[in-house]
Amino acid sequence: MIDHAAESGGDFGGTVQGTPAPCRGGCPVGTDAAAYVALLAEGRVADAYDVARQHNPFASVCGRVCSAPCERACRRGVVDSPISIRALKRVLCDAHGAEQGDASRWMRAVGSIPPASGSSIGVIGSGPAGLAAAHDLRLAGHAVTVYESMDAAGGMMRYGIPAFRLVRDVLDAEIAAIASMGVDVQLRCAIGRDVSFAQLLERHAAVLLTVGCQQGRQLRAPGAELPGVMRAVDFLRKENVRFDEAAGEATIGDGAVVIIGGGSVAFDAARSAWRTQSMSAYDARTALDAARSARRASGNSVTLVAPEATSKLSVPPEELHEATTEGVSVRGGFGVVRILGDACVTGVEVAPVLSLFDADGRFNPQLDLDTRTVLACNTVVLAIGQQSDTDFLADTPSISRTPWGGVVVDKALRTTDPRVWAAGDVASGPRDLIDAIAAGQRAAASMIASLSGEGTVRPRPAPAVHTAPPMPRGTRFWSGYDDIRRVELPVLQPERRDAVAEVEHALHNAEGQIEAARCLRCDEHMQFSPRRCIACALCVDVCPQSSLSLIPTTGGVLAGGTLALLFDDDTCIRCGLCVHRCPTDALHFTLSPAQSRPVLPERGAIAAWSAPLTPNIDG
Amino acid sequence: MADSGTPEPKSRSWRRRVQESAVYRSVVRTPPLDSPRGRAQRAFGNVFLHVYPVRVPRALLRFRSTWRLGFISTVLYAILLITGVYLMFFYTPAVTMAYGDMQTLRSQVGFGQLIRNVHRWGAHLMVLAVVFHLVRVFVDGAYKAPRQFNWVIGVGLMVVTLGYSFTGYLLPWDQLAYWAVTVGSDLVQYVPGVGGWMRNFLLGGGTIGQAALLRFYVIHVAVLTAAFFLLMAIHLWRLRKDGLAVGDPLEAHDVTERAVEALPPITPETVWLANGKRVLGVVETEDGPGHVREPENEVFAWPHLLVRHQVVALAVCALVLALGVAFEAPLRELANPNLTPEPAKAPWYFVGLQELLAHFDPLIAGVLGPGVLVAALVALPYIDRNPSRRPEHRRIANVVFWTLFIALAVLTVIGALFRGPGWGFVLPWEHLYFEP
Repeated sequence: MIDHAAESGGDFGGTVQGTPAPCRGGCPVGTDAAAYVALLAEGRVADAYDVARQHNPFASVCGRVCSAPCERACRRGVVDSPISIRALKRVLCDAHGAEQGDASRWMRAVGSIPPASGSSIGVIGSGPAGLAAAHDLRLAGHAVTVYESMDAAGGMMRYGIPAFRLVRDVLDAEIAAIASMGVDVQLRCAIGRDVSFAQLLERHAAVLLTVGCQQGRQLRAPGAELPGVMRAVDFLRKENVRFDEAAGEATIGDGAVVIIGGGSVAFDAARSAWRTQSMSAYDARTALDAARSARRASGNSVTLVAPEATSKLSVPPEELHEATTEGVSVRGGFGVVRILGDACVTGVEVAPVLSLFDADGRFNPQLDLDTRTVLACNTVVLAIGQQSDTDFLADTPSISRTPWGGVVVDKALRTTDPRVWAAGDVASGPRDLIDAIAAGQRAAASMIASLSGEGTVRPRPAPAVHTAPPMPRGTRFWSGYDDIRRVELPVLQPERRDAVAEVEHALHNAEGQIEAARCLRCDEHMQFSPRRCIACALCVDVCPQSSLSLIPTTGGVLAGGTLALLFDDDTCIRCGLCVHRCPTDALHFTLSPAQSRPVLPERGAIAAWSAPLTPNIDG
Repeated sequence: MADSGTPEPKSRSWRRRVQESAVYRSVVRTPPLDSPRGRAQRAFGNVFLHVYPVRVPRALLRFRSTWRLGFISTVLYAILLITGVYLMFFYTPAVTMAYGDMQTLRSQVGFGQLIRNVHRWGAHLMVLAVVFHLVRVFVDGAYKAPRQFNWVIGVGLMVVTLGYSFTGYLLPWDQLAYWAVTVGSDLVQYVPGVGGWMRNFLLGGGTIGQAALLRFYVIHVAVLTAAFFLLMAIHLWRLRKDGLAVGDPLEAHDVTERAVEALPPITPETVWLANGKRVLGVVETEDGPGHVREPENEVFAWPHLLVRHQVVALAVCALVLALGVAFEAPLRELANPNLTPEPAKAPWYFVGLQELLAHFDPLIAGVLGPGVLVAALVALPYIDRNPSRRPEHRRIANVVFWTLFIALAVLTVIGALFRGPGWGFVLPWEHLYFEP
């Protein structure tokens, strides 16, 4: 037997050492998706949850609504389709997440809460960025107060994301868990109304602005001011409040609705509008075929007009599929010329988009004005982007603002006022949920470093983290991991959907385990010993993916010379056939060491890497 | 979780159960996967498919890359082996019985004559296929480094093939067999000094009789078969180790080409290459080139090459079967040492030497000629050290080879078709003294 681990320093080399698996690299918060997927594949659900939770206080929320950049980075997508990483995270959270009601279970991965002996910090806004920052700041021993102008915490997670996508119990549970850490959440407290920004600066040693982008962008087209034109964020906020409280007037009435925009907000608005029209306001839970028939009879319709072609929308294909299944008609490749109507909206004039971007590469759709069509409607919802409302900073000239209402920050997310930081959409412009969480964490790390005066981050208490189990070698030959197709996520039958019923369902544990077994294990890195290699090229021969090549380093090699063994990480499926076949044991795979999050400054050792290495071949 | 029951497939088929059983897995070591890995693993883990590499150069898929001559020879050998075993059931290697057995085979054994025909024509075709295989390998320069020794093994296999054919020629014990072998074995006695002893050893006596028949039989069915399997194992093993010359990436890096390499040499510090691969490491090879393998120009042997081989094998079977149905293998009168037919010709592949005997001293024609020829073939890859496989770089080798080949072919044609009684010149359309 060869002790590869002992030799990795000298004999073996050629890896891009320390490179995380692509899924982990793709995650803004650095969740070790490869590890929790591998743990789930082995049935270690509780350990897997700890890994998923470790870098993300909103694991359960993300298990439902994350944009899943990990899946876009997933190399399995090169083979067929990526691992359903988000759905797998939901499997873990459904078993062990905060919504199970045990906040101490939720805390296990990050350790115990220290007494609030540090500085007092104020966080403005209880969205994902603010609460993620509060979580980390509290863990570092600071006293944190979160100010929220609305009736409930959560920000866009509550007032932007519809309930059929994110069940409120899950959101409430994770927010409650953060509050249970000793984070003081002040609801119905608007800065500039209930308390001034100057007062806040007196109360706290440092302030973090995470107010997001709560304002919809206005359309620059004639008729945009007409009654009947509304902005998606306002519409979604009102509808979400109405459904949460099961009270209030419907925001839109019967008739045709046109949604303008092609992003996830536009789809949320379209699917919410469909629900609003289909169901009576006070009876949100009874939406059956009767409601659908009634809706058809009343001439209700929802049309989504997107500038991008339908096939090139930024939303995932499943989203488009679900929206059209529900009855939203999607018209991709159209731009708005003007909104028609005198007293109120009567229609939208649209024209095909000729090109989306101008010569400078900026988003600037050119319309074919010769072939205009009119979509008759009485409601228009604009989902063409959001911006920040930071008017409460008008009296604070020390903080520079951007023309679109955002706040200017440096690399450490500090504003021009040294005691004020900003993170999330207010600092970066509209981004995804997971980006906001990551930004909150970065801001927290930056504040902790600055407040401790050390320039480094105080290490957290050592959390109970698990490393991925080493790739099962011999058994991998018998497993059909590369032959399993991506699992289809179960969804609620369209005729049973109502305003708040969750559309996407969770996978069963066993289904999740099968899906997790599809993982190629990119956290395993190829190691090679040129000294042992005899250039027989058997590894190249057996590789089913053409991932290896053996080529001469120079033009002529007939008289002896040097050969280079080349390897393509992107196409390798880690089947281990090359390792198995190598007669001199010159190849093997090693797990990438568990690391701190790539996005953060040094965060202290999370865990010593001690995964035992099983040599590939016995004897 | 109560509701998270295992989503077991509704009913596992018996086939799946068998495939998942421990016994099946101990026999078949790879799962039935419909994925590239499944195909690679299957070729890798199956002894029969293991004769092939997992992947072969795409260029090999063209029929004209090798004309499949080596494979055709192997298929013919398999046919000869099977038909030969069948013939052995009905044949006794005794001068008193052999000829009678041939007649019995003709008249009373089921498919006896057809099997004998197929054996006969298959044998002639195999000699042809082996010779053309040799020509193809020469033309492509495939005997050059690192495949020199495999060429030598190949020459050995050709000698074994001729030996098979020559020893098999005697077994029917008719006039044709008797006198062809007489002419062939007479050549041996011209070897200076030991010629007579060698002939005696081969024939088991001074003349062709019972001892000679038995020896030829044992050599034909046992000695040569053992030699063939040994040499074939080496031949194929080395082919697998050295890779095929066809589509060899080395060709692209031919030193004689001296193409100016615009790219700097690859070193361990060169991390990423243009094709998306990175350098894992640089290996020193002290002697010889090692294996250059660029999978971008390769395909899976299974199924791509395997399917083509199956088609070729079927075509070969069809051809010998058609020949066997259409043409009877000759059977003359019982061998008679006292009645020499005119002319007495050697088997057709030795008739060129017989023709040479008419012009030169027997020592030169019968011993030095074939001896030097075989020695030259064996030594060829060591004499010809020019590394290039391109025709324009190998004019001398080509001229020498083709001169000898054409000379031998012309002599064979004259000897076989243009010679009559007393080895006199006869035009074949006037009277053909040739029986295959």
